[in-house]
Amino acid sequence: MPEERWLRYGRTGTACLTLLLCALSFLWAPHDPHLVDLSVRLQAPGPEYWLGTDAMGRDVLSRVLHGGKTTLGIVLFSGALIVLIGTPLGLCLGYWQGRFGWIFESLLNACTAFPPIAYMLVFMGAWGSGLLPIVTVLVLSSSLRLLKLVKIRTEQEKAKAYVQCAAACGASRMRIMFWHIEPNVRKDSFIFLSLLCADMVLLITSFSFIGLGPGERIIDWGGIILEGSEVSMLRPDLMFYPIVLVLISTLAFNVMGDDERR
Amino acid sequence: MRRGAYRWLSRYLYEAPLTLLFVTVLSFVLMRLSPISPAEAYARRNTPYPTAENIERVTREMGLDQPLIMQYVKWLVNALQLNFGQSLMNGNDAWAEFVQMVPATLQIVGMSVAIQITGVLVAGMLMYLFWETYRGWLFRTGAVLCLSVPVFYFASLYLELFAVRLEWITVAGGMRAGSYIHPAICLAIPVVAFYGRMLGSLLRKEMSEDYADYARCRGLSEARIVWRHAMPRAAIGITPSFLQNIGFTVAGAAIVERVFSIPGMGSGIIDSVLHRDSPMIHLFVLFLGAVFVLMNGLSDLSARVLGPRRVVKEAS
Repeated sequence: MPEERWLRYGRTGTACLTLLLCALSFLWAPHDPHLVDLSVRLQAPGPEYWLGTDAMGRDVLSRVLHGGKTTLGIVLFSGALIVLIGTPLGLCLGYWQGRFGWIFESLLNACTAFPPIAYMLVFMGAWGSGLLPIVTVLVLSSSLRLLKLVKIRTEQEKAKAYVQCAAACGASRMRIMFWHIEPNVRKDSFIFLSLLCADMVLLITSFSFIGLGPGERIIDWGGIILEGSEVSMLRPDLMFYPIVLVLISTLAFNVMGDDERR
Repeated sequence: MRRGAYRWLSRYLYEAPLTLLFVTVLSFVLMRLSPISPAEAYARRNTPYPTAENIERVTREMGLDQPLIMQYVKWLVNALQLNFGQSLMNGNDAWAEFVQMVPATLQIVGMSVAIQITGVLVAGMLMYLFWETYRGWLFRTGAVLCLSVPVFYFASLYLELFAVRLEWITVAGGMRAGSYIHPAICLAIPVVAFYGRMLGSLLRKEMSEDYADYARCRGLSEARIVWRHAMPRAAIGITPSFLQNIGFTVAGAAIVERVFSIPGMGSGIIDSVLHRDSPMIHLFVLFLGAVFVLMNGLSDLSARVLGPRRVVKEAS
């Protein structure tokens, strides 16, 4: 049904647009998010400061928009790296099954036995919190999971007739892997990746909230929520704005995954 | 069947220790690669301005000057005798500290799993019953919304609402078992949302199968068909994934315990991460690894035991 397809494209497009908007809106932030002005502490929303000011007199709207740059920036950057690492390696490991395939399989099973949150705890325990550990953890743990998925799917696809037909036509192994098999694996990895991204947003925010954030001078949603929770008796809404954006962006990732699944 | 079971068991028995080895090696290597050495962090905490000699002495005391492989082997041998060294935070025995934290977390996780099972059954049934109506749409949207909010926010909202505004519960100094129900509820919310939705759609699929139609022809009531025939099949479908998810609940408890300030293992992990307490971190990593290995094994086992039987195929 063409209408349904257009509806789906519309929903996915809206989701993409929302994410980009959340990530790039810092460009038109009205104030400097770091500017401390103690004379305007905890002001209610008004014409000058649209969402009011926080305990240090900084503009909440600008901070929330800059927080989106950090949080979604990490997620989108890691997502891109995960695809670039996970897909080709998964295809190769799935397609070339040599004598030592079982070593890779055992190692892969050992690595993917743990969810990203466990990797996060290990890495942060060793390296402390910061932008680099967060990106490293997310890329490492998630790309291994994507790798496993692509590998299993490739093994399934490899047994199908079209692969043998392509091989009989003289297609090289690289051509079979990246031209014939890859498009059939793409849908599943896209669904998986969008759910991974939704999880990553929640993970980054949660860790930042408990004090393991990307860094001192770097604003992110979890950090804003943490600051908001300290003054929640006076301004309960401060916690609310970043949470809404977290909700919207996670929802957008979930919608993208759900739509592709149909 | 028997042969396959043996193969599965032997595979599990060799992959489980491998996984644990992998995760402990990982935590050791990461510690070594860390830009800030644990010795320096330790010296810094005990003396305000540590000299190079101080740091060197601490390094030697902690055995960090030896090659990594020696450190690891030594740790492994000690660990097999339940000697995990001393916590760098307070100098207590790491294992004793750890054992002290376990009951709180186990209670929270246990309660949470009980709530999760009840909640998933109820939510799945509700979603199935109202799937076509606007209420079903509301339920499904609500489920996606619940999945999109970080758990710590549920916990904060819960505290704000019940402890601060309504003053129904007290959390400060809440060491009694009864107070663990609150973090358990918060931990269960996303799980119930996720698996409830899944169960609802599985029930819908089961109820449109042929056997459900035959059962209707036999004159069985709709409720009986759902509970006796469709529900077990749908439940089997989500059991392996649900069991695996219990491991996630243990890891997720770290953040919720923090919000409720419960002195459980989760808070312990975060504290040791914040303080670079390497013996405690190694111990927690090993424990988390064991939990995940156990839960993955149970999940595999349940899939094998409960899953679709391929008796016909294997007999032929």
